[in-house]
Amino acid sequence: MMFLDFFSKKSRRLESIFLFVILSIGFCSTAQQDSMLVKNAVYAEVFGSAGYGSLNYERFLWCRSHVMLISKMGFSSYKMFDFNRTFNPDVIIPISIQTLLGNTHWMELGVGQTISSIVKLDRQTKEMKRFTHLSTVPSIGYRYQKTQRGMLIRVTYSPIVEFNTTLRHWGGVSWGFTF
Amino acid sequence: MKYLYLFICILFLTTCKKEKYSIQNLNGNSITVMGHGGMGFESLYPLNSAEGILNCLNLGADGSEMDIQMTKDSVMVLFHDQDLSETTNLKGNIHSLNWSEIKDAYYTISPYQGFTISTLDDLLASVKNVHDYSFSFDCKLYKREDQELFEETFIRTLQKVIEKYNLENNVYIESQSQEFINRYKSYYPDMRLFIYTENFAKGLDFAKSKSLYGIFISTKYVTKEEIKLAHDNNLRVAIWGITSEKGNIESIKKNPDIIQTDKLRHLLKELDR
Repeated sequence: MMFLDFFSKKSRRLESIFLFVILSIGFCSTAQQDSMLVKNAVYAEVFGSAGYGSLNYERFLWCRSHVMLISKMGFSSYKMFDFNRTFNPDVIIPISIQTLLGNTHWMELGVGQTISSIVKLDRQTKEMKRFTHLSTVPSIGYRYQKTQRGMLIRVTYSPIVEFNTTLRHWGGVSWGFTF
Repeated sequence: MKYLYLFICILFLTTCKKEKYSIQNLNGNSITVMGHGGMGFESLYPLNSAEGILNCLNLGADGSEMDIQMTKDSVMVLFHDQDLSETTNLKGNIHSLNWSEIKDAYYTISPYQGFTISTLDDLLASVKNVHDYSFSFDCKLYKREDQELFEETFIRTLQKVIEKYNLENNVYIESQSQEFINRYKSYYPDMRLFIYTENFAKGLDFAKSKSLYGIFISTKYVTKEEIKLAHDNNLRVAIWGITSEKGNIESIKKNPDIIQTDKLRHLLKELDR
């Protein structure tokens, strides 16, 4: 039940983000595709917008000449079991929109929100509780990615504005493929 | 041929058998296993976080060590460093801030986790069957101008929390300050006091002269023979500074009464807990 609370609490803010991403992904089917022959990418990121690492899916929304627009959603977790030793994973979901400039060698600019849902001790009740927060993650970096299917490599500086209050300098390295 | 297989199997089983220990100490020939600040240095839980300590207890430890400091308005909190900025998003000393100014501070060691500083009272209130566990309070008394008055308030406040939960027999008090230990002993002579030392001989002399409960020392500064000497003087020995599995095994062989480890899972397994 606690796990499901993640989706019920703060639902309005989170729903709007999910809606935005889903609409963005839907938009891609009608978006103008110029020179890009692939539409998707999957990659693993070490450190980066989810903290210590994540698995990510990208949908290429729009592409023209040397500019591309991408939406991304990832998944990560720190722990599968809470401090009472029951299965109750921490959930970290980075969502972002990125713009790529270039061709094969791209400069990447992006901004996103990372939803973190972490199990902690509630001071009031002295019981375990799931706390959900949003953090803003801008990013700038380099990406190697061809217009056909193939390997994707990216290196980013992605500072985390943790809980939208505190800046943490951060970055990540990713490796995956496009299809 | 059949006997050869049997011999090989027996040989394999005996070589794989876990090392057994013949522990001899003042703790009923058993070692009290404690986590260092909960789950230790290498955990995703910050040292001294309530979540880390609860995880440690739920893993099967006998208890946990924790660092204790007092706020300006006399609230006992679990925190190690002198300045909050070393591990949290705030700045300042615990003793110069009120609890209301500290309660929203969160540990910054890992992104997104946001574990907050806990009060000792909150932690003890959240431990189910609290009397089943032992707690070692490392009293952090960073120097102040009004040290004497501060220490007196510290002792009274800490003791109030201990008595609130009837934990007099479950708590060990550690400090590097001989003055503090003397003061504590004069107010509460029955409490289990440990002198925290880096020099075994000096620690032994002080503990003997004050009839303390024991000596608290890093495993690198004490030998098996020295621990035996402490036991001969009716003093318990608690050791810490164990950051590897090898360190756990070497520490067990020294026959201490308490081990505070950063490798809790391994130590519990090694001692068949």
